[in-house]
Amino acid sequence: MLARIGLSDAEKDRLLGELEAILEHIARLQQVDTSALAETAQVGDLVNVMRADVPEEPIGAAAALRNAPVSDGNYFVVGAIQGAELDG
Amino acid sequence: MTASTITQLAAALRDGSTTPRALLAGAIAHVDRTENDLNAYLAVTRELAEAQADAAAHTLEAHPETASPLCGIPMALKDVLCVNGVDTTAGSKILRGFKPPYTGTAVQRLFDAGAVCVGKTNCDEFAMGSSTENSAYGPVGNPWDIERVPGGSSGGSAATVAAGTVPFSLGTDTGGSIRQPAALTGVVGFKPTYGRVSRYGLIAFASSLDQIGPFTRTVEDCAMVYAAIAGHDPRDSTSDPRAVDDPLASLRAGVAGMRLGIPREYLGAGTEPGVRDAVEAAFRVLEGLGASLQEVSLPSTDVALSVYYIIAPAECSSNLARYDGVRFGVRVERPSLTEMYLQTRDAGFGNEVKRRVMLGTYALSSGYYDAYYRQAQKVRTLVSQEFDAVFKNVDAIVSPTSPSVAFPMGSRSDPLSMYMCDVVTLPANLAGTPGISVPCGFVDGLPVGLQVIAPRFEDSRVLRVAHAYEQATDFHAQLSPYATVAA
Amino acid sequence: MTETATRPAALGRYEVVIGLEVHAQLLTRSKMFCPCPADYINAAPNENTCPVCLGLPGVLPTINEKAVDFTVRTALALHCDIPPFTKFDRKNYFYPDLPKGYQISQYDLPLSLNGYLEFPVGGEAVRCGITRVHLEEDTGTMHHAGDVLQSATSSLIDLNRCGVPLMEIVGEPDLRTPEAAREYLVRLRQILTYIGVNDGNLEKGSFRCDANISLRTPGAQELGVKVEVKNMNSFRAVQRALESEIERQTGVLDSGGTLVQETRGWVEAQGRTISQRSKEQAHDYRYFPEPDLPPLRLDAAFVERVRATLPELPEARARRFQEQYGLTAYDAAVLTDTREEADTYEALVAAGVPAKLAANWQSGDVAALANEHHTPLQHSGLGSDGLASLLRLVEAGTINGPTAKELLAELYVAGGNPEALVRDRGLAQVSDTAELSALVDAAIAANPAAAADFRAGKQQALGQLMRAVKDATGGKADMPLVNRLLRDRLSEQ
Repeated sequence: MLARIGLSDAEKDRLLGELEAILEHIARLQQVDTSALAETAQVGDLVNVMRADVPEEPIGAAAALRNAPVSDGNYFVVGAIQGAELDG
Repeated sequence: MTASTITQLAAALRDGSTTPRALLAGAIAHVDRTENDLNAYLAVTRELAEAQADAAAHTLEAHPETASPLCGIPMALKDVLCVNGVDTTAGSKILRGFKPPYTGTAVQRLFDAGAVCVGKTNCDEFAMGSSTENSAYGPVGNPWDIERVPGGSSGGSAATVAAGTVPFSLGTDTGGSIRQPAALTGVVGFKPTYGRVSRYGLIAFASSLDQIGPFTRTVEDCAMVYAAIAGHDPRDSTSDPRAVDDPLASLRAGVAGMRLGIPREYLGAGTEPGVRDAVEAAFRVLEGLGASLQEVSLPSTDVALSVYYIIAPAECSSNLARYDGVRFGVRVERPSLTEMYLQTRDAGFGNEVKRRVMLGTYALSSGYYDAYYRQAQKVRTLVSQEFDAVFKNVDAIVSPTSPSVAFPMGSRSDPLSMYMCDVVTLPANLAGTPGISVPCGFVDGLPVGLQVIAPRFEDSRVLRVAHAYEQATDFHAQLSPYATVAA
Repeated sequence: MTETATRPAALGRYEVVIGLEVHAQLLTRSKMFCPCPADYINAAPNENTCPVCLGLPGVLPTINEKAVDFTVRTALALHCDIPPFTKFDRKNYFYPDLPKGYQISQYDLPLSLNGYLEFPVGGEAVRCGITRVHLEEDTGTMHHAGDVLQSATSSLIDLNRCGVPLMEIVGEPDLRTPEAAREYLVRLRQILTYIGVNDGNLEKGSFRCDANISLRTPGAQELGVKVEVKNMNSFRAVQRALESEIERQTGVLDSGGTLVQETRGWVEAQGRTISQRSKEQAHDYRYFPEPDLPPLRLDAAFVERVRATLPELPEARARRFQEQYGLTAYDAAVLTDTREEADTYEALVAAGVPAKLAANWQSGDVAALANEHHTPLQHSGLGSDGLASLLRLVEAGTINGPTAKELLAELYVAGGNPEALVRDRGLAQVSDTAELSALVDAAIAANPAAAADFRAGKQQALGQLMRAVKDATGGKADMPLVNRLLRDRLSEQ
């Protein structure tokens, strides 16, 4: 599942029912004639917002790792990657 | 000092009748008195607050004239706002114990002004909700009736101002999450123009819609807090570089000669009769102040709800992918990585978050993108165009903030009926316009809010209209039972 | 759409169709979307991180202008169009080296489109289309406890590399042989390093390549089943992996089997590719516009400003070297192999060293020393200024060739001023005709047999006489002059 949430079967059934109702409500969107409309990804007219290539002091590994559930030395740690389906 | 305004407290701090430490102690004592019923706070940041109060006292003594009006004033922050070293959970189990290593820009600006952070306020998980019942840490009681919700998602920030604990707080508004709880708790709540207040340090729900704004007891206070947090931030590429005009300069200019529009669709069938009456009375007050009112139309209001419930979940499905149990937050340990992801996110997210993540994932997935996400983006354009068209004929829009007053906890278990709460607030998020809710009456002892919306970057105009109305009425001066609980 | 290499593959029953995707890190000082230092190699794990590249809650990206500049520079060098409007998108997938759960990349409106790269393969010109060049961010790195991914029990994550600007260069499926694929990469890397946007290091992964390869019946219009090959860490690996894949696919097709669309990894040690992921497991990346970043409108003025920063590209420079300095095609190619090499050459010429002399020395002895010491001339003790003075001494006849060679080797390591050294050690060549004539006479007198042999027509007998004169001057004799004097004297009756 793309959302990577491990739902129980009961949870899945309930959520799917709710999502169906929501999607049915949302479906009215399809009736709007949008042939002449551009897409709005964000409001406003800002363009070319960039920063100069000047490095700043990083926060460092100690601060980076402070919130980690599991770490080892300077590293974050995760369990084994099984199979290749997660491979990016 | 309970239920005082910023203006009153700033004066008291300068005439020596109180100190930042005394105000802080009063605020914390009031939290202690009311928290059992309200559950407005997820954390009281006493240590941070004491240090800030001492620093503020120093500033007030050294530079009483130039110190910000917010210097030494206690306040509270919605728990989606990051503060360096302070627990920030966004109302979610998955972030229990998370201490950001940085402070967000808007919050830092308040700190720089000398404001004193009393604590982090409860909210719907990741700001998803309209009742604050979706917090992983329990619901927030409405100070007017603790059996009822305070609205949401910024319910804790609204409730603590309504309870008179602090004169102001910050919330966030993605579809009405400041304005609707302000209406339901009888305080002022302001969502500035998208791009006016930096989102850096705001835990994102829907990036193109989120905006930080204040809760206050008066519009003047609101303008002061807004002035302190607004302005360009290079860390937020969507923050606007245009200069912010001083909202206090035009605050008292009144509404005489102003053209105000009442969108027909904002007073639709779902509006409770009591709310309608209160708002119509407010329209007459504005007319009495010299404004000319006319009916206008925003035909896509109804479909805007659908647009919102595609765009917001789509963005949130991506924004919430980072909660994977790897670098921060709670992890459910499993030998395989995939299982760890699945179980961490299942255990860490609540129902509403799961619903929206799944909805958004669906709307973006291949085969559905064009029908849902792309179509929603196009209709979003239409929603903006309709606002533009209306603002050719009127200076601002006035309407109810919420179709209903505060409803009993647990009464809206159906997600769709909950989503309807935002039907008149979320279009302003889609169009990026500023909007405010100001108290305009009561129905059976429950507050009603008047919403004012103006074109983008006309934040001062929104505040000016709201101020004129507020000064002509005394709804804002009425205190909730929790604001009058004696020490 | 574009001309293609038409040479058939070794196994001629099928036409081979290859398209390459290159990921190149940009040589910016800071990361793509945050101001952390981009140097991820020389820092302890997770040291060069900040809330933004760690993907902490509440952070926002900002665009590194230099990275945009570098990508446009690359696109222009590859003859791409720069559309007036471009934007970033989110590519959503879960992996522990991707902290946000999405990569900020570009989807439908990349920074550039429709370019090409032209290069010779086996004496024939090949033109490979460039579909697009776009900008994105690199991921972190993972170290797996245990030898291989599949059997590891845990993985260590370092996010120093996370957020380093990464340019993706997507080539058209215009390549027809593994050799052409390799040559495409060599040329592409040369251009990227020339224009100063990438350091071209395949081993360290700053220049990475994936290949798409399919076979089809010659003349067929449709492409065959496409296989993506990954994990190739050298040009040689790319060529070998593609050769092995052609062999494998040919085998499957010949035996009547069907190929499946999949991703395969090259295993260097085994010399073969192994299946990693089938099409069914392919991702749905749910691209959508990045709401945290306003789009870019790069107007003509911006593009022209970037174009003005483009250096002369290697091919054009080699052509000019042939014309301007009278070099052979081979010498010109060698001397323009890297921008530093070409700059050194032109510096030598500008410092008064004759073009041919500079070319011979630079591509001969200097190149050998650079190789031997793993140090390019610019970083050697000598430097290009020192080399110029040394070669000017050769040109002026102050020192002879063998002396120059010895000095070059010494100065390359130890450094020093060639002129001062020649003076102090008295290394100047003996080219006084009277002095050398006397030594020539002495040599003939001391080696009568050799003199007689030469007079009798044995040319090689001259060597012994030359050596005698050379030895008498301690190796400093102007040998061409000695040669002439000996011949003159021996031809006298």
